[in-house]
Amino acid sequence: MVARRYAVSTAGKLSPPHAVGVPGAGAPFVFATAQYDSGDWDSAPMVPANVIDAVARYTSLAVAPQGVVVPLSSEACFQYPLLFLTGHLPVRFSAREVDVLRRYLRRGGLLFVDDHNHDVDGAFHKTVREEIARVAGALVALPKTHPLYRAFFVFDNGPPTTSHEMNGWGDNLVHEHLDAVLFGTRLAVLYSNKDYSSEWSYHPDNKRFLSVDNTKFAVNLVVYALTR
Amino acid sequence: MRSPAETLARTVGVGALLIALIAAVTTAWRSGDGQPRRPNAVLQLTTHNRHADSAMADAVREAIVRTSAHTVAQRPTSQRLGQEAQSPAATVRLRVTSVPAASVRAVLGAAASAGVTTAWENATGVRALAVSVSRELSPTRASVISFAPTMQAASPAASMVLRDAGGVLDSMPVAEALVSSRRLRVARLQPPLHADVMRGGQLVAQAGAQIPDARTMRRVRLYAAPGWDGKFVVAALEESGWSIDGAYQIAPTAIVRFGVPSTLDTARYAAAIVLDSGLVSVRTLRALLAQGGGVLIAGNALRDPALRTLVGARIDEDRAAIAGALLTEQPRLGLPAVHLDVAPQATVLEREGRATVVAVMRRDVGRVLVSGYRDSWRWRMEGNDEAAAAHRAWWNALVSAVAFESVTPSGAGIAADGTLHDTSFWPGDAAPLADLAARLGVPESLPLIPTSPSPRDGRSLPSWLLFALAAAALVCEWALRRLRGAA
Repeated sequence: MVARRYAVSTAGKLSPPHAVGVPGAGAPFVFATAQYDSGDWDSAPMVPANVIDAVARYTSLAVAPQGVVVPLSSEACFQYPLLFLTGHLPVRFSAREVDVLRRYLRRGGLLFVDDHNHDVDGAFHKTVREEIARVAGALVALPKTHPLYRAFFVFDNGPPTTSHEMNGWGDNLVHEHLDAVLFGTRLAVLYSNKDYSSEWSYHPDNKRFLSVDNTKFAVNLVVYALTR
Repeated sequence: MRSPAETLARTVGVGALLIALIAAVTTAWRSGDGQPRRPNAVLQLTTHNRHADSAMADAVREAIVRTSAHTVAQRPTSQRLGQEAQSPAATVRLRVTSVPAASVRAVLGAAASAGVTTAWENATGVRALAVSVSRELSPTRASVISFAPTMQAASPAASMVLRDAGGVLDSMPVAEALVSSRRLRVARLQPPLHADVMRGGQLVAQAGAQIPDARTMRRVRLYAAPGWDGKFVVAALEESGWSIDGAYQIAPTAIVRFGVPSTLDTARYAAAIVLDSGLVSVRTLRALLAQGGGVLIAGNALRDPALRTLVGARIDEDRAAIAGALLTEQPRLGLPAVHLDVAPQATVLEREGRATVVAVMRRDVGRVLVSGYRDSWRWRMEGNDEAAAAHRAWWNALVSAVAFESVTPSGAGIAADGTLHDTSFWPGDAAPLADLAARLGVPESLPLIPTSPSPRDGRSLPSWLLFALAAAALVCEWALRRLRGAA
């Protein structure tokens, strides 16, 4: 059962537990962040608010104004077929987390993992890839022609480059593609070391200062998860 | 003057010659009198038979008179069984070494029905053999061959070969015990289908099955709002082999399409699934039904009174999801649902107590199914470990129940050699041994009857003894002549 469940408001503050809307026909989409025992799962607290803002801004999808945080060791994960996982520190899933995540993916869930370090050989990068391989299988490069890049906005060149990829931190490389674990043709795990966690981690009100909204790819991710 | 020894020798020689002559004449007489030895007869006439009309019956009667048990067992089945059983009111004893063909079984059955008492022994080594073909409940409509061969205890090894007109499909050893029937999934079968049990290179039993008509399933059109329910319905159906087309309204000016959505008609679609109202007109759905297509209305679409008129249903009451039920043996109780009040002519597929939840009915030449369950994706995600498979099977069954099928008769068509396919099928061929038992009764163990008379039966002398006697007499006569006067 749910060990800890609380909502993250758009201001990034934690709100008390509440009856989370179930995304079915007519029910709003709820952005869920995975909480795991090791590492710093909450390193990008502003991402949910920004993603929710982008989805509400560009689509007519019903979306819950607040995201939720779901322990990866809890079967409450199954209520949210799209999970976001990020962090800087080494990741080691517990046996319970492995079991829940494995079942989650097998049933049709989609786990989006972003490396907040954007390091080629960073601690998070190395360990989380090992954990993903242990739970779901080896990651492979996702081709730039994948429907994910055309699910709503069109990204002809694959995943959009982030400003954080060449900001002097991390490996200073532009990563050409995302990696994924595919179950048949279904996307089960999407892995990014482009540091979208940093790219999207700002207050949505500040989006107006950007010439190009850098959260459009998040809309593609949500629309793809809801429709494919 | 002959010596006493010479006289004695001549007397013995002449006596032996006479004995050989008498024995030979007796044997010749016995073989020509047309009266078979009763203990050697395989067919024992217990009552006078009625005059048969056909020439075949005459031949059968002749065979009954002349054929011995062992001879019957050695002759081809089609001859030995088919001919002899035409003699009514006879007691026929058959030792079956290979299961007779359907036409022969029919003759035997007719003879039994006419009063012929038939005892038979199953000497095939096969205890049971059955084969059947069904269509898989999936859009591929693949053929599933079920077969159950078992051998008798301590019978020699045998193998079974499955073949259709295209050649051998599979082969396998046949065991003495079979726990359950085996299955073989074949994408396409060309009649006729046979299951041959071979033992020592000889065919001992053959079963055949009728192949159901081939059915072509078209695509499915989904009308749903973007959300988990539509996503997982598509996932379940695609995993079952269906091809799904649809379009989601993501934004006022943005539509995301999947598949190749096009005009809704039976030339393209087998069925339409409507999960949300307002996405398709009732007129469009009625046109599909008029062509024989299927319509499945579920979820929030049932809130639309216009859609409910297609099946004459109205919402009786709302039922909230029962907490924890997704993990029980009745997982759909864990889904929110509406109880329906459907038209009397509708067939109720699922009830909750006395309330109707799923029903189907004919509309024009098509079919409409309504399902009161909502948010079925929760069953797949939040149910037990078998929930994903169960969710997939359930949706597949719902769509299959209404889907339009383009039927192609399986027996139709011309073979590669230009001949028409043989579509004849005898129902008993599906289980030939059971068919034979149904016609003749339970097989029993018959005493083994020898082919030739025993040298110890005292009724006739064996030919080698006659020859020895004659030869001894001639040698004796020759020696007497050579020794005459030598003494």
